Amino acid sequence: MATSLQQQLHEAFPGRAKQINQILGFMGKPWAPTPPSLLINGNSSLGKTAVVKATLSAVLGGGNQSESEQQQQCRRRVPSRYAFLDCVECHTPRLIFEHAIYQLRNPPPSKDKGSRLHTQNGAAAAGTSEKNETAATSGTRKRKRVTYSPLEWNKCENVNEFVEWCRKICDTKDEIDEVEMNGSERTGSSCSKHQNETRYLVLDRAERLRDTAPTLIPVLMRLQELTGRNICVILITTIVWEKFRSKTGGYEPIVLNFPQYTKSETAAILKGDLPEGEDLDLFMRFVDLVYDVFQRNCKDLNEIRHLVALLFPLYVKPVKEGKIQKHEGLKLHRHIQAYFVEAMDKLYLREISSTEWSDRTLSAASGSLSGGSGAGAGAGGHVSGAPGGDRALTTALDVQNVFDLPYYTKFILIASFLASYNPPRLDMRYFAKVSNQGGKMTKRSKIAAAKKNGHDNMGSKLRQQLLGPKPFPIERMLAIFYSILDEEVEENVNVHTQIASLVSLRMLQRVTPMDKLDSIKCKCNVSYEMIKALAKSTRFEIDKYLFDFS
Amino acid sequence: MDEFDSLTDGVFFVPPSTTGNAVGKSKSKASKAAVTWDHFKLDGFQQIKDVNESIEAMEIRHALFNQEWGLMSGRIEDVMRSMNTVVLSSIYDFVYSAYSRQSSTAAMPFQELPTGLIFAGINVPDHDLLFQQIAQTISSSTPPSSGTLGAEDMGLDNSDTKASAGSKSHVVILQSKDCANLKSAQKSMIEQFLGLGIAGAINPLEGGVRLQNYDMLVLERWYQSLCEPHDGTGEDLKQPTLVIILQDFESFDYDTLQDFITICSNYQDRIPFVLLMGLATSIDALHQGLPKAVLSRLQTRKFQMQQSSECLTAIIEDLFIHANVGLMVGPLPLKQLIDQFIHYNFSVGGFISNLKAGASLYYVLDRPVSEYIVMHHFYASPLSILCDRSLTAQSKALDLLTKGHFDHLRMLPSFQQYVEGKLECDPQEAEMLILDDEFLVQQIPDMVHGLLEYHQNFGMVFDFLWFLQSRFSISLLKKPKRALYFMALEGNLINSSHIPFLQSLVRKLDSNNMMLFVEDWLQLFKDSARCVPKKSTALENAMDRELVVVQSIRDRMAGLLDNVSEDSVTSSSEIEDNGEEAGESSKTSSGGFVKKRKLVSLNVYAHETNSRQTRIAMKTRETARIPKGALGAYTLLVKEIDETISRLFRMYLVCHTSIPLNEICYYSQITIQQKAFLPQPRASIQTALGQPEVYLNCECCQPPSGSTGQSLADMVLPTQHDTCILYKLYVECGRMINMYDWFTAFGMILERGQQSDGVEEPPSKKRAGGRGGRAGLKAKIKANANANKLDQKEVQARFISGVAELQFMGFIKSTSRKTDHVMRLTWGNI
Repeated sequence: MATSLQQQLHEAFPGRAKQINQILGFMGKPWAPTPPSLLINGNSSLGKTAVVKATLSAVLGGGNQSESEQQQQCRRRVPSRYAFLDCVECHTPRLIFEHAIYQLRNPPPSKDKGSRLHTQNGAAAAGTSEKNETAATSGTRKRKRVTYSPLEWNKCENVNEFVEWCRKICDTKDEIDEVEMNGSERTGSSCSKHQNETRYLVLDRAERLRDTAPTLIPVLMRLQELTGRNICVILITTIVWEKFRSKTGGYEPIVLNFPQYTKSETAAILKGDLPEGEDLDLFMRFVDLVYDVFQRNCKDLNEIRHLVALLFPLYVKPVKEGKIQKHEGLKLHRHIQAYFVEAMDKLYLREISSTEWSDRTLSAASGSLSGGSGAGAGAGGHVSGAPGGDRALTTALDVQNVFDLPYYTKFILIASFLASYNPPRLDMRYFAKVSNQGGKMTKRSKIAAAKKNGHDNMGSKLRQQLLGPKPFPIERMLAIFYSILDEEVEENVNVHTQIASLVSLRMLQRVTPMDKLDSIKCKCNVSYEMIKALAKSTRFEIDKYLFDFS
Repeated sequence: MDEFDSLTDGVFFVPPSTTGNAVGKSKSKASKAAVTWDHFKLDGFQQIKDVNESIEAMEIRHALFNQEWGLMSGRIEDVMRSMNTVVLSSIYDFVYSAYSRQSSTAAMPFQELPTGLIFAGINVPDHDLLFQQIAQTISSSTPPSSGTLGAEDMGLDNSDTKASAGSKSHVVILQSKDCANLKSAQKSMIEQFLGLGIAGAINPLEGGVRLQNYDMLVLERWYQSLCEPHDGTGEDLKQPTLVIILQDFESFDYDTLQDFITICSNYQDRIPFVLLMGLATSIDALHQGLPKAVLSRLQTRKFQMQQSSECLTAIIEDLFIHANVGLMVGPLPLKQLIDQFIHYNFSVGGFISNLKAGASLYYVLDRPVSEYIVMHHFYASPLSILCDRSLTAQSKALDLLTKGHFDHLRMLPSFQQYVEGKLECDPQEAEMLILDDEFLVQQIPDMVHGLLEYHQNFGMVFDFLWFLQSRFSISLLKKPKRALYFMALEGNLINSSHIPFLQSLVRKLDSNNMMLFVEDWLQLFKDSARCVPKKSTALENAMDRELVVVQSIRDRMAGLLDNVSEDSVTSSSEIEDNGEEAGESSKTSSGGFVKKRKLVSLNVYAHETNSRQTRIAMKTRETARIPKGALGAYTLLVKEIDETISRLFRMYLVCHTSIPLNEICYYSQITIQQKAFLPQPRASIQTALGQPEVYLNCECCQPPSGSTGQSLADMVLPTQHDTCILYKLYVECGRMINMYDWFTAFGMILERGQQSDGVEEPPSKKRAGGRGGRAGLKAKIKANANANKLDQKEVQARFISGVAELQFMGFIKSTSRKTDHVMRLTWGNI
């Protein structure tokens, strides 16, 4: 049975055979002593969580993969042997403790949709059928557990209590079994052997633990020692153990590293994503292509899967329409090239979500179909045409999303940009209302001359543009604001409320703390491009007022 | 004034009293009876003294105010809702299909959290209403329909769809202020979902664990209990979706949000979450705020809410252009409302509250009078009865008019204008209008109706103008509706170059398009509610008359074109530019009814010849116009159309100021509005401290007789309040202020006052009238004190209290940079 289980896991996780074997090796027989703690690290989306979860549920139940009916029933009744916690969710020690206790004291979830293993489709069906079977008795059983359970407790707030609880859980399992034996008197002997089985406490995203409480990690590392029971703590994290180490006295966990997938492994994983009714060869060729194109920018398996899922329908579209033959790889490549470029730009951004994408490709497909039949355009024409249409779609969306600001607010933002990037000593030159325009010009040309002498063509290395925005006092910004506005504006409350609302929109950043009311300082938090667009919309020549900017 | 002499209270409430001296000009005896009336019941409405208003009249005003505002706000809400209907229903669809769609396609390798990004415009305060609407829409079990649903319809629908009630979504709105950290965000979400606020309602787990109120397990439990089929109806029931609205994305703490989204997506396999995020700026905010690990869990879809400027235009159109409400806003206040909107905040909410306050100002502060009255000759805005559209000769309001009302009425510029116009044609009536109150009363309802009719016709012709403009796609001259309306209000729309330009475009239409245009025009008139055949009143007939005119034009045109197509005349060789010909032949050929028959419609012709002609030949035909011979009748028709259009505009788009009694409906006060809505804190503070007499109305602070050249603001007078004296000294200082110098200067000024006291009257009393108790108290002490020698301790005490006040107001702060100095904070020499 063990080997078949191993086999299944290997099949489910291509390229992770070694790690699975290692984990299984550490687990050993159900009641065998384990190492006190295990640290699994590796980059994101390398299957750490999925592998651990699948392994534990396969071995300890919950997955219901290959056990016989009777064993399943037995497993369902005993509390879970492992607890799986996400440290983002459990952001306080108390949450960690209580969730762990809760999970350890209750049966594992019978149906685990979350892990979404490719091989679990069958298991899910088995779970439901079995559910129907036990539906009649589950109600009574539940009640019994509540009434007879000796573990009446209210809360678990600190480490001490948690250790105590761990002991209790490990010990009292027998009593529950006895209760159940008395109740059902069917599977007595098989249950009693679970007495000393190892409990596993899995903490996903364990790097968060460092923030929750300083003493928590050392305690978890020695949980086995403190409780004197057979408990194994597994930490899953993306960072190395060195970053966890606090002062002294901690045990070192056994570190298990998940390496990056190789190309063939990636392909093997993606093989499972093959859409129904598609040609495997074609799909694999496409996967190859995507991997080659994107691997330099993106090693993330999930992202690649996302891309493949998004782009594959486009890739096969000409094949389905009969314009390009399956084996004409080069033509297909040319066809998809433009989409790749677009996808590369938006990598990770998810600007266009999968639903929108599929809607769009659907509509584009129908459009091109009708267009194609009407005009009888050749394949080449279609290839260049379709992505162009797509571009237009995205830009149309973008244009729509350009948000508008009230007129004066634009100027406030421009003024704060100027205040952030211009040195204050030049304010007089730029913004003082000099009566003769000529004098202003000569001064500016003087600056330009000085700039030329002092620096090379590329501008100084320390120019503000490269250093980022500088904080400025609000008064200075307001002075610039009134200076760059052509018309006369009376100072009124609205100006100040607009400053506040810009701060709340994160376009201005307040650098002085909120409780300090006088001499507020802000930074301008928008890009040059945006300011340029704003200036253009208000017909303000921003470049004339910026010092040392390009 | 002694009741204000409290040491502990800083602010006093003084309800307006009928005998107060603020209003008081002529106090009549009748008003004294009103002393007993409950001030608050009538929202502060007061009787207007100078016209001897009766209480009933005042009550009518109050009732009218409530009625008008109720009408206005109702309409505004309707407009807002209808503006967003499309988006709302697509959001609704999104939420509902979020999970069913996934199960059907399942294209993605992993489950993504459905997320709607709602771009709602930059005015964050307005969003409250919007998101409440969204929440309402989603949690209701029926998709929003385009019309406004009556309450009964809703009830019916609910019962119909009871079967699918299980799929009802649950909605919570999270605002950044509730979500300072992860704990509070979760707590707020769970509490809202469970619908409690009562911490005790959280069920303990089976094992007796009492969970914390931010534990997701609580939610999971609750959701499971929600999903359990209660009556065994079966498993095909769609599971309810939980919708979380993050209202102000930009203000959230991004770390919190990141964790929050991660948690939601972790629980997604157990609880179907849908996120809706309100973005005020652009999608960049999302990309800046969330890391890729979180972004890749989202499946986004964008929803663009209606631009707020369009909402504004729609509101203006609905309320004012179509005159659905009684109270109109004159050009100046409207300009200011719109300016504030465009320049500062894009806030529809602000606009509305401005409007409301405008409306209430109109009624309350302006103290307008109920029956045709005006009050303050300065605020020549007559009003409210006129605002009552059901005014008839029997109205009670008319009986309540007093002599004062009539006087005010006769002082209205528009009334005078009207009388002057009458003078020429009917001098007798004009005289009666001026002299005979009874006659005037009889005339009033007619005038009000005239105003009403004017509005209706105006609205319709304005629609026609808009229709005309939208017909031609020349973006250069496109003007937004509100700009056009504004021009009309100011009275220069008719004379602007805009209308002649549009007319010239109409003239240039070719015959086929002209036909279409006339058809549409007719349709527009027919569709508008004002042309529905009704009981005859003078002006409705006028509009019906227009309809008849248009109808006849259309009929003749159709006849003309029909004949042409039947005849198939082929004299297309003589081709000339239409515009030129129109000029020529309009003079020469006047009555050629026969020639009509020869008219060739270009497109008709082109169609017939389509099969025979080559492409190039067709192209030449396209430039072809009407043959010279047939031109006359057509040109005449075009000319008639042109004239009709310009007559329509000239007649019905006239400026409102030419209508008698328009002041009753149009609110044109701007100063009060400005004062209330464009406060200038700096100016107020400077005035208050620099020229306290402006606010205190005291007589003591007169400039000494010798210094007439100096303005009062520049002088430091000992009679002024201590803080003012200190402020004036402060203004003269630099960045750092030496406390001792300040103190000495202060003491000297007081000393000066003390010396002059010997001659003049003591300043103490005047000061007491001003800034509340302390000054008064001190003044009393001072009066008791030694008359000649100022008590040094008192000077110090007053100095300290003054400095403390300045510090409290933020003018100075203590600094450790220099001993015995304070730092000056405001209005330094920049």
